[in-house]
Amino acid sequence: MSEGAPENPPLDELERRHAQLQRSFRALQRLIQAVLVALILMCGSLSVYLFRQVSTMRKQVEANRPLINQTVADYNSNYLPQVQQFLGRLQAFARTNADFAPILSRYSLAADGVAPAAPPPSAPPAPTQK
Amino acid sequence: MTRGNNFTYALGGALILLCLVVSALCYQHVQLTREWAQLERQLTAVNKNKTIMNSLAREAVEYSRRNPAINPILQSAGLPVAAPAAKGK
Repeated sequence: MSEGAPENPPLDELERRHAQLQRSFRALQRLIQAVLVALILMCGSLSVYLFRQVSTMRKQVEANRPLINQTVADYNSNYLPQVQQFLGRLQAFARTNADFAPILSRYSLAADGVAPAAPPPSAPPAPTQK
Repeated sequence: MTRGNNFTYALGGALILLCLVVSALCYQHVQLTREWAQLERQLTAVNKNKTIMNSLAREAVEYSRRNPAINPILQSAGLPVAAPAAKGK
């Protein structure tokens, strides 16, 4: 009867180990919860910041979109045809007046809608009205 | 112990939800930034072309002082015609 007793660990030893494991588990659980709370606070701050940025940018885009679209449409429908006509006449004029050809050739002909055009090599002086 | 687990799961769920919200906001931010850049590009191109054409028109008006034959073209475009340059006495 007394032979089996040394093989089994004593009951208080088991209880002590169990209590130690429980303490470790709770400590780990608290650590995970603390990390989760910190991450939630960081994500919350980031989402508030992003929400404000998105709101500001949306207001900016929605306020300016009609104006810019109107400007571009006006440019394409009114300004550009006149420019193309003017350029055509200037090109015809440059064919008969060779001294005007260098002036015209300095400008890339901006007749393709809103496609960006290269600027002139040097800005000419404004005409002086006397 | 079960209560502690439930709290951890709730925190994890809240974190996942917040991550989804942040992702959606990031996506919107990128879209709006792209749209704004596109609008700015269009406006810049229009202004650039107008500047170039204004410079050409100024040079053409200046040229009309030397060669009034260009005046009909300038007048048809509504540009002012410069007075011919005075010839030296």
